[in-house]
Amino acid sequence: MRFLLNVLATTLAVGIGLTVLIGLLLGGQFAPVTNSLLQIAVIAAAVTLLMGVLNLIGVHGGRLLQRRRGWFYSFALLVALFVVLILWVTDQDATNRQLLDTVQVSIEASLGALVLFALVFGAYRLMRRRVTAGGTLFTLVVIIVLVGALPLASVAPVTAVRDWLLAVPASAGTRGLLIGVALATVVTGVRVLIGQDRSMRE
Amino acid sequence: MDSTTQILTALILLTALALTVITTQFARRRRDLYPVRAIAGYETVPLLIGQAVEAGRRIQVSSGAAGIGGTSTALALASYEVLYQIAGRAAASGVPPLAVAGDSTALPLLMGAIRRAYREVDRLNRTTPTAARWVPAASLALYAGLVADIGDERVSGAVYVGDFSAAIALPLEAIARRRGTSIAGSTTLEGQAVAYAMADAPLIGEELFVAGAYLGDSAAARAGLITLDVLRWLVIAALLGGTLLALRDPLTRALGG
Repeated sequence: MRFLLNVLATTLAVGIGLTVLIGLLLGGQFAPVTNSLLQIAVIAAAVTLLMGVLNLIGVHGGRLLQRRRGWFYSFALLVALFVVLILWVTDQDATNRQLLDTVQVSIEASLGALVLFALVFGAYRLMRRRVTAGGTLFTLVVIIVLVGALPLASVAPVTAVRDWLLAVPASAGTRGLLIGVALATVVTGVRVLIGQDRSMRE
Repeated sequence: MDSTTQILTALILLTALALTVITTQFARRRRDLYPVRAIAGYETVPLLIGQAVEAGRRIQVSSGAAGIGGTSTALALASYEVLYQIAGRAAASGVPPLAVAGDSTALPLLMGAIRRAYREVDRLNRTTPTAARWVPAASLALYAGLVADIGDERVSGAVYVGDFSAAIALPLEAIARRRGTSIAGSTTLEGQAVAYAMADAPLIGEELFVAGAYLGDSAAARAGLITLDVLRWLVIAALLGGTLLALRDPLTRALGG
């Protein structure tokens, strides 16, 4: 039975993948079929969202009931979830937006500020952990870019170096990374299309 | 899509297809057909698992904002492979990895990776539906969730392979403070830069996609790695060829003049 289900899953993945690919490449008469398949994908994504919410309730409900470490935060999360759901069902958009502005935005702003400290800690840790040529170059470039961004006339030469760094080496590195990722994406896609990928079989 | 793009896309896909089919046959016959270069990120995995097993703690694996159905589908599959390999190795310890998906479409994928790994070692009954969990990737919620789980679930190490922003600094810092080991890589440039600076072993660019070839024993995964390398050399040759062609006229003029 499991073998048959695996064969079915692989056949569906390969068949739908090829159909969508042909539709994208040729367009025209394939477009309606491709669009229908993409609509099914959107519906499936919506179902996974429901799964996600149930998973969230399961994870935090379990932690709350078993009084495991962090149970109070799970309680706060569940209360927030149900309050927002009730507000949405009762169509109280204004209250919902007010909650978002006063609670969500301020918490996110605090977290955003923490990212800066985490980055400074990271730069410090990079040099403390391993003083390599790559690490030194990385730190040096970070300092030049940060100093070059200062709006002061006295750092104009550094600003010119910064602009060159961003325009030439950084741009070349970015393109290299993106080309590598794109090629790996193509190879992964081809492996799905010829049924070598096993992720959809479970 | 204009006709030039269509032709180029079809050409790249057909080349990748032909290479994958051919190299799979060779990789099946000879395992040591193609020596692979060392990647620090994958060489650190045994240490990461050893530390977790010894301490009886969990390994956090996250796919970030990568999900199925969009442009990050291949990345979500790469994250699946990493989780599958780690879960397979950690299965014996009785401490399942903690998988965190930022996109709800990746949740069934990560659940499937854990189930498949545990089924293969006859320990399916040891998995729980909450071994993989969803923390929405919208804004900074995902990173807050990762940091909270590092403390609450007694995480000893982390592997972040997916779509992350610069805020990946938050969980990486939390792991470092607990003297844990981290492996991280992202396809977004901000996330990649932070991962390079802060992770114990960064994964860069296409390295994210080759976990199966480095950690697994599958001929198909090794064939994928060989295909990737061949394609990369073809692109390098094309870039060099294009540069030489572009320089031909100015050089001829300069030498002639």
